[in-house]
Amino acid sequence: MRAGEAEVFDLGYQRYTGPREGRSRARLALFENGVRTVLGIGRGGRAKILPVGLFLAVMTPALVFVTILAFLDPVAGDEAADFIPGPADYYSIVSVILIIFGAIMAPELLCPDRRDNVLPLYLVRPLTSNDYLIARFLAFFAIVLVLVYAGQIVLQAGLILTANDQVDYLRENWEDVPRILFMGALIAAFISVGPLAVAAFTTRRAYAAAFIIAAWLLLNSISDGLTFQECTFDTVAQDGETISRTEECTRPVGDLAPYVGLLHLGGVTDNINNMVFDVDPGPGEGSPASIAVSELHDAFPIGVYVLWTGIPALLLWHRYRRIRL
Amino acid sequence: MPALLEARNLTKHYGSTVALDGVSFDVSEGVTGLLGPNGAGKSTAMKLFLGLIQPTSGSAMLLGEEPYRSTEGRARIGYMPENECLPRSMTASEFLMHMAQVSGIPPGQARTRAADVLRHVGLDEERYRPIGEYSTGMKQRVKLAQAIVHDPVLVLLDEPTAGLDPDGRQEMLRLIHRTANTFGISVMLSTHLMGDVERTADSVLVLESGVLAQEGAVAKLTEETETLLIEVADRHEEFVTALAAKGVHASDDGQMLVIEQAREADYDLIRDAAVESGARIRRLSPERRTLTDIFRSRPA
Amino acid sequence: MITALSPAVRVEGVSKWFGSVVAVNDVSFDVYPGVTGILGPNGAGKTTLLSMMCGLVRPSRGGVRVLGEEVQGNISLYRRIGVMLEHDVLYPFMTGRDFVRLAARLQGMDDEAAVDRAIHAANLEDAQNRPTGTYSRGMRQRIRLAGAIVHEPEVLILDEPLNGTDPRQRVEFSDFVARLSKEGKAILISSHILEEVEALADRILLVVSGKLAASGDFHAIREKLDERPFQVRIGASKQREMAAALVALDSVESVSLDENGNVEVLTRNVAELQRMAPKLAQDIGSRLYRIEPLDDSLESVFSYVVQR
Repeated sequence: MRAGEAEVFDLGYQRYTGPREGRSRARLALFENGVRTVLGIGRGGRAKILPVGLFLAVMTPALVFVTILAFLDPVAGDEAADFIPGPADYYSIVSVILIIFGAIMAPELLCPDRRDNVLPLYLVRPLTSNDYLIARFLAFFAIVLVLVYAGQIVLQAGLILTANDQVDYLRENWEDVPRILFMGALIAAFISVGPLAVAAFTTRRAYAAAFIIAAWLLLNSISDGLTFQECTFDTVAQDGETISRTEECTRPVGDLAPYVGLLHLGGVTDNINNMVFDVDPGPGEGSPASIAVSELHDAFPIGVYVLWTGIPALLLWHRYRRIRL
Repeated sequence: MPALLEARNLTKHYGSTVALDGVSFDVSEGVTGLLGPNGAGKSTAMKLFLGLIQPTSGSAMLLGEEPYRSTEGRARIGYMPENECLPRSMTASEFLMHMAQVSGIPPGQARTRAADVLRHVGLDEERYRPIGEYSTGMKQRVKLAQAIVHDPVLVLLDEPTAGLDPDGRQEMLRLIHRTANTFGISVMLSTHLMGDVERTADSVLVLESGVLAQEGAVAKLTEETETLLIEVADRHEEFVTALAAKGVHASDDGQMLVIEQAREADYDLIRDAAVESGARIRRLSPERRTLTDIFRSRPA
Repeated sequence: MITALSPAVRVEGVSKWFGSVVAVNDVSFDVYPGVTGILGPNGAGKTTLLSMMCGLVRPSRGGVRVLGEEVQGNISLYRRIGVMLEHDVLYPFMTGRDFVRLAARLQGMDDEAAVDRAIHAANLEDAQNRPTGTYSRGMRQRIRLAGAIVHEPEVLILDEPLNGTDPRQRVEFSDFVARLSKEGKAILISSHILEEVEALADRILLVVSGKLAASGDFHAIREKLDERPFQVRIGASKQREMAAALVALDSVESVSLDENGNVEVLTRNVAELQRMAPKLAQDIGSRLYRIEPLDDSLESVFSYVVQR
């Protein structure tokens, strides 16, 4: 600018003449906002403690196993590796952490919008209540999916790198990859939809979380308790030594045990997991409920999975149809 | 210029309650006041235009579309609800940017729109703090800001002055005036205060028990009448006597002198009576009609 | 009996604190028959003051006398005060009529005719036998008002009586209060809707942060705020000569012509302007159509005082 010259700029209100991308942008914005909300992005450090903590908790088992594998004697490696849980066991090991993640983070996504009465603001924009719900669900589903896969990826990487012959290992175990992807998606759907449905019925996040965890613990312990089937007998032998014998004995609910086993919430995905990875749970492996369920035709656990994801999905949809204000 | 909003025989029942009963009207550019008692159907009418509820019969058209069926028109309108509706944990800046995107604006533009609009409603430094920490007045500004962040053609404001103290109310009315006159965004303002309408609106719709009781231009409903009012601050008696001596007939209620149909020459006589009596003339002006008259003249 | 000479309510050196919060800070004023509007921003202490006047809250310091008597614990005095406070207290199952009758009995009255009169005054004859739970917000306000006036009190204390009422009810309520005022009752009303108070009140009390910031006739208050020049619109047949004559007055800061050809004057001495304008018009032989103050509404007075 030359001396003596000046400019005055108009800082007044400007009309918006840029692009308007309507409904697709609106959905995307809700999805992104959902991801940010769950991960606590853009809100102080405190909001990030839980998601980061739970993420680390899901990863920890994988990191521990990989560390152990790395320190095993390469020669004896093959044998010792048998004691390290593989991809077939991994989902079942982290399922408790996953359900805690769902119980705490799903309400975070839905409750504040209803508590603070923000929904009417969304519903007068180029959106429907279904758009809102689908965007929120996908945001949560995506996060859980990343969580679910992350541990498996670390574990797989560890198994491949520590194998004596990487190519051999891959050739023998390539089927694990589609299994991991497929099963992970099923678990993520189960972990997302149930907690979201519970969160849709209260504006208090703590109530929703408590309800989900309580239901989890209650159904699991009832189901396990009623299908437990090992009996231990102690007999004193003549030389004074005590001998313990484990024998099959009747379950408290008798022939109904496989059906009672279906009540096990943790088993909903474990049972499918066993099918996908072709594992037959026997004594000492898996919960009493899943052992009981394995006596049933595959259609039963599949049906239970469909119900446990389908009914909450319907409830969720129905609830938000009626919420429009 | 087609109407922004169009109600044709608009009817809404909630069970056996009739919220709106065959109402027809148009809303065009400028500020339209929607005046009426609680439960007269103001909020119901707004929700129908926004597509939040469906009419029982008749139609509520928004920018030529049925908002319940099509989401497109809704990208060009804004809505400020009466109740609290802001997320407590988000900052105003973050929230506004999000709402701009939810209205269809891409992220880059959404960010600058959010900052500009917050500045225009008078929120500057506060905008990086969570909304939960705001005062009532600041929250009202954010509520208005989110309704205009996407530069709508029309914004619907539901009781924006309810529960505000005098300063808060004045500030809100000023903002509404700015929205319409400086920003060029048409406004439909629902309120139960006649003063809100008189001060901001170009035209008014009066809803009572679900029917349209009155509509018209505010300028017309508040125009000056032929009646002349005179208020003197002192020497009231002297002034009245001087006026009477000049043959000007005025009725006197002790505070205000009223002259029906003043003639040209009367103005000179009034002026001279004031000079003679030495009275202070606080006011000498034609009486204005007020919206209050609507409610005083019609039976309940 | 209250007369124009003795105040209906006398508040003397009153303070009230709740813990470390000072709600009312050394306030004194008198309330005379007629309508007194009590105004102030949210949290200024209006409700606390009103509660002290009806004996519900004891002042931390100072005294409140109603009709010449100390108000605190004075049961017989309560029967001469009508009170309607901001928060809605109604039993939803009770009919409107039963509520008003109960209010009368609580004041030691058993007079169905008085109940009729109060319900008529509140314009609720049609709904009187319905449970108040079925009433709208405006109807609830009015039935509570009926309860407050059923014993024909000499002093009426109304805290935000128009909250939630609709335009028609506001008009009716204003007319009703004006009638009571003409009957010589002392009525204290707190409200946020300044244009309504302006139309109704003879005097105002302006409370800011627990202190009395101004009291009296609001025109007079406006004139005391001499740091704010007055804006007056003057209409004359010879506008330019009139403008020139006006600007010659010492107290006039500026004159301008508006789009309708009226002269807008900014003056530090509105009394002089109001007295001199007719004379100036006469001197230049101009007809005088209009003298109109532009910023002496209660609203401008309120914001000027609050911003001081």
